[in-house]
Order: sequence, then structure tokens, then C-alpha cells
Amino acid sequence: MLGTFLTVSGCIKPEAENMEADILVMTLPDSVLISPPSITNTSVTAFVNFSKLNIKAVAPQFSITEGASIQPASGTPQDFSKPVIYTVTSQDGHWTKQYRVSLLQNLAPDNFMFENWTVNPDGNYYVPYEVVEAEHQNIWASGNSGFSLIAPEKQPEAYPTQRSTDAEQGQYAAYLETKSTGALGALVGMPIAPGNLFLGSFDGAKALTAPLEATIFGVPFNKKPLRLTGFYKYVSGGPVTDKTGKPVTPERQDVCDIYAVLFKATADKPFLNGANVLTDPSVVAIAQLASGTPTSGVGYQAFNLTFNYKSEVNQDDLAAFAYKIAIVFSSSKNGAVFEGAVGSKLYIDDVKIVTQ
Amino acid sequence: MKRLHLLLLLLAIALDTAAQNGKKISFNARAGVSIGAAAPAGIPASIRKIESYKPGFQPSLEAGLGYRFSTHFGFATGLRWEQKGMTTDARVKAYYTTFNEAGNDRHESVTGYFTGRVKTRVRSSYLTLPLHLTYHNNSSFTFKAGGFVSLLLDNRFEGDARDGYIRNETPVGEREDIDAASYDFSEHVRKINAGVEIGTDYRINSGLFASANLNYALTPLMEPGFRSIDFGMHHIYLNLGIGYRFH
Repeated sequence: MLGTFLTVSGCIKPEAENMEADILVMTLPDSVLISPPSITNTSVTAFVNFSKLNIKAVAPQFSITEGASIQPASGTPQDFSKPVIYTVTSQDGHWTKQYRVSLLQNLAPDNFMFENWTVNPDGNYYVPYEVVEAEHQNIWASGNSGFSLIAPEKQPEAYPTQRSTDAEQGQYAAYLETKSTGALGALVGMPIAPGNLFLGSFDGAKALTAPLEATIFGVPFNKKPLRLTGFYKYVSGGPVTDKTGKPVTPERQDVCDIYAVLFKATADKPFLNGANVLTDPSVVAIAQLASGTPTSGVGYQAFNLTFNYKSEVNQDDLAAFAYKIAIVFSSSKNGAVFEGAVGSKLYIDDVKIVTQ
Repeated sequence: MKRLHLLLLLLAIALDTAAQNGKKISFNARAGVSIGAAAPAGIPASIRKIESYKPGFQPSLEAGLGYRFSTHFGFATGLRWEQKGMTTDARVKAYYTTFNEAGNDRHESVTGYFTGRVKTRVRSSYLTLPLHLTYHNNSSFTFKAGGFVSLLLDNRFEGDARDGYIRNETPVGEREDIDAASYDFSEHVRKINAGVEIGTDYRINSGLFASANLNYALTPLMEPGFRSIDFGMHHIYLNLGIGYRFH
């Protein structure tokens, strides 16, 4: 019988064909890219230097899951004046995934009204986008995709980061609420999920293993920022709990965080992340809310934060897109390390980067 | 266990009474160990390599009753307490599973296709009623073939996954790296297990005998409707033991 078992275990079947259908890398000539492409499960976004290419005929190269195929084919010219949908089919032919590939010619805007929201198909949650000269820019990201994996809820309104009709201007504001992640979240040492929203992208794959590195900060910026202004409203969820879900000692009330960071990107370190965004040597200037305590009354309160420069900005580098900016909002200041209070609510609207 | 004692006592009394009526009925007691696995009928393609397999110590104790109705043939039954289990560590690719917390309902879990390492620990204890047709000839061997029905007494079916990633729901769903995640399917193991069994006893002397039984559960290990592992598993075990026959 042991023989039988060993025989059975010896009968490992030939490896099945791959079922995955991922875009792993998108390649464009270096001179064209302002910043490395950011790739999520269903989108690829890259800022390109429009003066160096004909946007109506760009031929990006894709490397994809082994054995998979991609349509339109890698290396064929496409009109990227609007996003191009690529379909990747798995090696076994049973699974397909669509990617929205955007080459953004325009730089990110410097004012953000949070009026445009779309629902991410992977997790059924809201993401704001910007419209610059009719170009849709998916430059905002949140931890929602991580939350979608460990929390049972599947309604957009159940996610930590969403929109609200309680707005300072226009129809919508960004609404961030610290949520409980339920039993599974507690199990992996992530009992809460702060509402967060930032300029950059979220690497969902790292959400459970290296959550600080999952938040990838920064979009190209070619002006010198002086102040970050906007309106916010904050309701604290109460005493902060730690990553085991227990109240921290000494007890303290949850506070929010609003900050913007200008940093000089390098080829080695094109982006910052949750672990180094405020401390990395590449940081040039920081504008940060001094105290994230609750706002008084029921209405919005203005904030006006000055960028404090640690080093001079090189104008030539600035013009050459060497700098990036990150704006970060969080409903729990230490939410990135899973400290916060469930029920903390941060509303954000009408944000502007005042530049020189 | 009190109930088991009572049953054994009744069996002994029955045997004692029957024994007075001739030599057709015999009573035996047997202790053994099982080695085997909760295994799929064929190893699914998602399992790429079995890195380790540990049978563990899986004891069994049995009180048996034999009845000879002809020169060569008889019946055998009994009551057996037994444990079936194993620990395996496998490398998997696109292995459909669920990670949950012990005792959780399935709403708080991640289900999808996992690629990485999966450790599985199974240990079930059963109260088993075997029924065999026995064949006796002039040799020291007795051959047995029949079936068994088992009642689950205690159970553990759990494990963990590590060094890999899961794709949420489908192979093209969101990818999530997994350092370590655990699962516990203990609540989804069937309470009743039934199957077929063949074996032989080798008479060492007038009382002592050695036995070997191979049993295969025809009922799947997991409850119907269990979807968190997408292949059926069946207990398949070899039990080796030593017994004593009371005449």
C-alpha cells in the first residue's frame, strides 16, 4: 500500500498550460517615457513625452505570461490618443483579461475637484480620475484593491475609499473611512484598513506581504509647488487600536493625515512608497497638515500647507520631468502600519497645488 | 468511550455464549498502525511536486468476531477505533483553494488559484464497523474481503500555504502575494465514511496472528458541496497489526 501511495505520488501529471494572462512589462524607448509604466491587474499607465513621439502610432512592446498571447500584437503601432484596450489570452486558451493601456501626454493637473469617479472592475470600488484636455488620467490610487481581497464586502460603498455627495464644491468629494477588515484581516495582522487616496498606484500583490511597499507614490510634475490648499472635514473614530486590534497605550485619539511630497526621481528609484515617502533622501519638499485632529462643526474647513524645501529645485531637471509629486490623504495617520480607529472619516474636496 | 466499553462487553458476552455452542465463532483483539493518505484518485495537474509526506503515528484498536459457516468460508466483523492521517507538503501551481480562519464561515475568506507551497495536515479518528467475507485454507493465511462503515469521532483537516501568490477567484483575478496563510476545512469532513477493504491474517501460533488490511474509502473525504479544493479526496490506508485470537 505504501508502494501504491508512492506510485500514485510518483504520477505527477505533466505541467498544465498556464491559466494566467498578465502583462508583465511594457517597453517603450527610454527617450519617450517620462516615468516607468505602472501596471495593475487590468491597466497600464505611462506618462510619455509627447514631443518625442507620434501619439497616433505608438508601438509598445509587451512581455506577458509565458505562453499567453496578446491582441493587438506587441510591437504594432496603435493610436494612443485615447486608451487602447489590449486583450491577453492565457496559454490554455480558457482565460482572457482586458487591459486599458493609457499613454498620458499631458502632465498631471494641479487642481483636483474629485468630480469624476469610475468603478474598478476587479473589486467593484470607486476610483477618481482626472480629465486633462479630454484625456482620462487614472493617477489616483487607494488601498481598496487590498481591501477587496481580505474583506467580504463587495459594494462600492463598503470600501474605505469612495466618493461622497457631501461636497464642498460640485457634486462629489473624496470620502475616506477607516474600516474593519474582519476576521481574516485580523488573522494577517491587518485588522483595519484606513481610507487612503494618493497620486500614484497600488501594487495589490504586495498588499498582504509588504503593505508599505504596496502604496507607490508619485506622478511626474514640472512646476515648483509652493502650497497645497483644499478643504477637508474630519471625524475621528476614537481611540487608536494597533495591528493586533488592541487599544494602544497610552490611549490616543485617531487623527487624519494630509501631505504632499516633491521628490527627485531616479532610474533606480522612480517612485517612493509608504515606507520612505517622508524620509527618503530624494525628498525635496514636504507640505503636511500639522495636526489631523477633528474639524469643528459640520462643515468643511480650509487647509493651506506650505511646501518646506530641504534642497533647491534644479529648474532644468524640473523642465525635464525629473521631479515627481505625491499627494496623500489618509483617514488614520498611522493607518499604513494598521494603527487607527474604525469609523474615522475624512472628506476631501477642491485640492490645488499652488505653483511658482 | 463509555459506549465503546459497553459494546465491547456485549460483544464479549455474545462471544462467550456462542463459544459454548461450538467452535464456529471466534473472538479476537487486534492493535495496528495505519499508513496512507487522503489522496485524490489521480494527482491533479495543479500539484507539481510532493516535497514531503509524513504518515505520522496512526494507531488502531479492534475487537473482532469471526463466524465460520463452512469449511473454507466465514464472516468477520468487529468494532474498530482507528485514526487516519498524514502530513504532506506539496508544490502547487494554480491550485484552487480557500484560505480562511479556523472556524470561520466562508464569507471571510480568500478563494482563488494559489501557486506556491501547500502543507496539509489530516488526522481523523473513526469508530469503524468492518464486515468481511473470510476464506480459510490449510495454510497459515486467512484472506478477507469486504467493506467498512466509519463514524467520524474527531477530526482535523488543516494546513497552510506559503511562498507564493493567489489569484482572487479566477486565474486572471487580482494577484496577491502570500507569505503565509492558513486554512481549516475540519468542519467540512464527512461524518460517515464507507469503503472497501481487503486483507490477510497470518497465524503465528494458535493465538497470535499478524494482519495486513488495505482499505479504500469510496465516499469522498469531504462533504458534498465542498468546493474549496476542486478534486475529490479519498482515504486510502494500509493497516498493519498484531492480534490475538481467543478460541
